[in-house]
Amino acid sequence: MSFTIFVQLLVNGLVMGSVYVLVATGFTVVYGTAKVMNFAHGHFYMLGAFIYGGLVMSGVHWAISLVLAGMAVGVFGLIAWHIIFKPLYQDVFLTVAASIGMGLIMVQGIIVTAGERDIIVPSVFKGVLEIGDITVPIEKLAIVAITFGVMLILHFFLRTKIGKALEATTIDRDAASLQGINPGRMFGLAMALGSVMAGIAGAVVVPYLTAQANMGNTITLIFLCIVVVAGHGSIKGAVIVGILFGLIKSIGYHFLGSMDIILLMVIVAILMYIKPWGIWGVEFKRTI
Amino acid sequence: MRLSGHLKIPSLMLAGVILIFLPFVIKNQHLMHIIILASLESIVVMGFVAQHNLKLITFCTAAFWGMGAYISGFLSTKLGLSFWSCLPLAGIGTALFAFILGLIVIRSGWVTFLMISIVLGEVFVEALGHMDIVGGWDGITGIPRPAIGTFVFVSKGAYYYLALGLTSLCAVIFAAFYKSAIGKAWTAINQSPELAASVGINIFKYRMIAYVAAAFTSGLSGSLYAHYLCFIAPHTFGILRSLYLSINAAVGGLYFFISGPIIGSIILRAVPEYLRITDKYEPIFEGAVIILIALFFRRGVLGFFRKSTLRGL
Repeated sequence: MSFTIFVQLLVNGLVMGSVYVLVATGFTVVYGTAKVMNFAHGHFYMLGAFIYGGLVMSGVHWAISLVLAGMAVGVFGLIAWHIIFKPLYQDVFLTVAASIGMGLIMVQGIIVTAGERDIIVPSVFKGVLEIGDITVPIEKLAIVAITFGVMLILHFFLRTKIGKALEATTIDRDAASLQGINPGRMFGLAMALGSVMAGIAGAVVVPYLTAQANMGNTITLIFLCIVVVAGHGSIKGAVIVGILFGLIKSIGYHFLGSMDIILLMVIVAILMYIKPWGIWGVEFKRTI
Repeated sequence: MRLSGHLKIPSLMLAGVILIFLPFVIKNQHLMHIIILASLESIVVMGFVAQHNLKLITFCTAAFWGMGAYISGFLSTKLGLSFWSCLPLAGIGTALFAFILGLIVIRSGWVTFLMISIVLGEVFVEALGHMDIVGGWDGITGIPRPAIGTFVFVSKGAYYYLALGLTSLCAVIFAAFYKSAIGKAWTAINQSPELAASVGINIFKYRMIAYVAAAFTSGLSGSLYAHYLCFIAPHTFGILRSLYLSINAAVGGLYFFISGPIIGSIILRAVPEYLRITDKYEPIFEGAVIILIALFFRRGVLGFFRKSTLRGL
């Protein structure tokens, strides 16, 4: 393997890794705070991709489309929280079943409205960066940069008063409610926040991959593995493991083709055997 | 539904007599097909309910079912074994796989268990699709039908008795578990894992027993499924099938360990057959029904007859 190919693989891994980071962090925020396992999260990502694609193709500026796609998916997540997840709160099995059912509706709804064809969205950043004989499209760097920006915004958001309230609810719901924090509102906020991140992840990845109705299925596997290995509720873990899995998947795909998922499974199994609660996870008493 | 003691034996006998003479009453072959499939599904759902009772919510039940079907299909088409030796081998093979897997996934607690079960359900289908030795995405065709001597099981009626026997066997296995000391420990873990652990119940061990027992019975059911349809493909055993199987449990009643799965499976097998809608909107309809069941129908059919949700057979 020449050095050039190796760098290309690293860049591709970093791009996919940053998308995984956005989706996995969104899931982990929702699970950590609201204790809701939203298995339609991968389809929220798909929804973000389609909304962004539709807006860009109808001539809206890409940055506005990005924000609008994120907001729309966030509002969708909030509606889903109020209609489905809130009434089923703490009934884990039915929550999961209903969320998978919701995913089914979303995928088929997109197929009915947008057609079965993949939607190809032209990239907004044209041109390549050349360092020696290595060429990197600006578009890929933009995905990494936007992810970094979103994670930075999340970092500063968690430092504000409302962000601290969110974190307090994550740590101890009852103690937080004694301090005058409304846990129900915080759960809704967490759900919206996680959905926004999934929507933005879908939006940034559209020019790189295409928008497909079942693109949520593949990413569901990967973000679940990331959350399991990192430990549920750990944002730091999700970021590190997400980037790592992106790199593993990119290099694995080069050598193994579509069987790279088996490599990922073996790595996940070994890590789970060594660290049953995840690397950055807390040994939850509640989750015996 | 829990019947009072002196009514239980006669009512079970009555049910047995009705079930034995059912093929003589029903002449509709399609209805018999539905009943056979429902009884095979109900075995898998019994395993799901046993695991759900221990707070192990799994969404790869169809994967274990498929594993039994594939072991059986592979052994009978490639190695030429008969159904009667494939059936136990499929059960034992699936149970062994579940045991090795359980060493990794059960220790991590139910949250990780749930997430990994979804991943496994998807990866199982992907892996089978890429394995050429079991036919890839086309699956295995031409699986031989079971035979005793020169009598070959071809008619729906013959298969009905086979399925009835297997379902009764699995129901007896699970009933024996619930009645024994293991079942007492299961109930304790269901009510409070922490409290059960504090009195010295080894949660990991008892969860493992339920996990392996569910895998074993699912493997048996899968084996008969393969030899009944004579054709299996990876897509049959995907994550959506697991979802539908778990919805069977919810419709029957999650706290009715043996009657709930049977009744739920029959209802959810029979009702969609008579409610055909246009293909394009079918997944939307199914998803909406699942959400509505989850929101408004939580106690299941049997839950309407009995208020308490603690335990029952």
